[in-house]
Amino acid sequence: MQGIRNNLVVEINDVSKSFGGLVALSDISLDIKQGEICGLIGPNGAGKTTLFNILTGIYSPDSGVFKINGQECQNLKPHLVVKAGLARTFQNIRLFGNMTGLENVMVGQHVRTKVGVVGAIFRHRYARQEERQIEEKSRALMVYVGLDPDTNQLSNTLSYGDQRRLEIARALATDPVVIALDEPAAGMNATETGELRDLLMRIRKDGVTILLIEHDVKLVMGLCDKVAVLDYGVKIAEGKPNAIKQNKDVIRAYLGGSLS
Amino acid sequence: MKELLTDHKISSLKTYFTSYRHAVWIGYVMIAVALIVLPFLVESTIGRTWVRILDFALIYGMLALGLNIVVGFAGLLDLGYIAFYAVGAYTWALLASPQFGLHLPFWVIIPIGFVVAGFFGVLLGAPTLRLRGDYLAIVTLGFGEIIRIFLNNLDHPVNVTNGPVGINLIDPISIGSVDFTKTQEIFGLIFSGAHIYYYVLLLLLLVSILVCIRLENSRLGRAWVAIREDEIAAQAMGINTRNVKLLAFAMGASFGGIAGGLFASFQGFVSPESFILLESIMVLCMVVLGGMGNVWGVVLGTFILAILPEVLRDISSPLQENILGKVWLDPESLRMVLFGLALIVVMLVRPTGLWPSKKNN
Repeated sequence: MQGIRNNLVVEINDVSKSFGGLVALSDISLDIKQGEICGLIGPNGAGKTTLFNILTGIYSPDSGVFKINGQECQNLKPHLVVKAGLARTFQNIRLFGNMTGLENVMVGQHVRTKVGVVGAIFRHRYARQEERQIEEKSRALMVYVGLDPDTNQLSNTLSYGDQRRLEIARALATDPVVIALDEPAAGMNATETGELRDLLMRIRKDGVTILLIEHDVKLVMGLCDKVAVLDYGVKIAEGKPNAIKQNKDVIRAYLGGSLS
Repeated sequence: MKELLTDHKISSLKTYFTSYRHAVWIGYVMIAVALIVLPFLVESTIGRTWVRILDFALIYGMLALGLNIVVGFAGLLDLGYIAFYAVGAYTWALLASPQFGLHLPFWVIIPIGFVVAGFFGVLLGAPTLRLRGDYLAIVTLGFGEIIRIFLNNLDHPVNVTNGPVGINLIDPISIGSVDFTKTQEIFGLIFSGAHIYYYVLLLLLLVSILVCIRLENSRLGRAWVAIREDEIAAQAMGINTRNVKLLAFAMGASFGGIAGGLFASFQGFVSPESFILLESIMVLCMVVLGGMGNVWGVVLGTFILAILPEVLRDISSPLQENILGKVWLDPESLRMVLFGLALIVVMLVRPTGLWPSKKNN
């Protein structure tokens, strides 16, 4: 923890990435404070998901550095980024379909637990205790996001909104410092979006920082403490939601130059 | 009146549950007795060869459970699994036969076979970590063949495996002077070698089942299934997919190694032709037919596939004589036709196996 300056749990410095000739991200810098909800918006193809994939260790950046919770992560494998404290959800839901909801959340605690083959086979006291803790915590997390831990339903049979919520519970199970949500409101109706909004407020209140990619501008503007806007791989604006709404560059990026 | 009724209901429920628990215990005891008595019954009714067939079914059971860890739990399609069986069999053969004049006791060889086969599992797993599905199947198939061809040709320049001739006079399991493959008389009961091995193999299969069930319901088992379901999401949940996959290969291979060692000690003889591709496919069929990922399904599938061909061998001639009046088709080929047909029918009717892994709601 000694590496954290000024409560910054995410520090991105001059991260660039290109695929062949296409520059997907150029010199992106962004800091997120502990307990903030930071929105990341931009038109399709602006590089939001690329930045996400870099932060979560799926791609490594061509240049630049980023720190999660004070730890340099630009060259780490995805599972080590999770260990450092960044958990994520996916734009197109990626649950473990043939596992129950509870089992999905239990998998999320893999990185914070350690019983191996010997413990699994002999079930000594420590292994039993850890297993019980995993289950209790998973149940609590399911209740926390508003799901019933006792349904034996396989996760691929859950409703769309429940699947989204389960993904968030699974991500929270990794004990993250920052949780990165990739379009969590996509495909949701107004009621579900409202519930999601309440859930995100609760998560923030409980001390987890949120990085949010979202197309629903109303949700982003109402929820975020800070918004960063990407366009063609460049950060064109960063600031409070109200300031972003007035920003000329942002309006041009979204609506096209001729209108502004 | 109403309260009385509910009271009555509760008490009757209570007696129901206690008697239910008793029934479960009585069930266990009956199964145990049936399993102990089974070889006596089989030997006295349909003959001693059938006890041997049961023994092989038990060996296949261990093999299938091992493959189920790799294919069923972790979702890694392995077509060369029989290689680990071969490694285990030759490990036993080399350490307990006149080949090198070594005669180690079984309790030393079994752990060695476990470790050596597990090592080969990692050896196969390491280069194939990035592969999935069909690509992984092709590479593992190649690995299986490489092992067999090695065993076939390692008789020169230095003779290790005796080549295609195989290794003979392998030591059986023995405790003191009691040789488990020889007929023994205990308390006036006659136990043939196959009969004694039946108990050894049964014990090991039960241990294997227990180990598999415990692995499945553990942090590791969940990680395996997570990788099977979605590898990227598994990584994103902090699972070190490389290590966890290698562990699946190693655990699966170790089961195969132990089964192979017991096979060698039971037969007293091993040669490369026991470890052909068809055997790998047979074990895979047992896993798939029974129900990938479900331990009990896999055991069921094994017993059906290990015993059905033998039953068909015995009945295909009399059946033809009774129905057609004469043996028209060679029983050996008819048997395989019927066997193939049975597999196709099962897969059409129950595509997820006879006893699939999760109750779908």
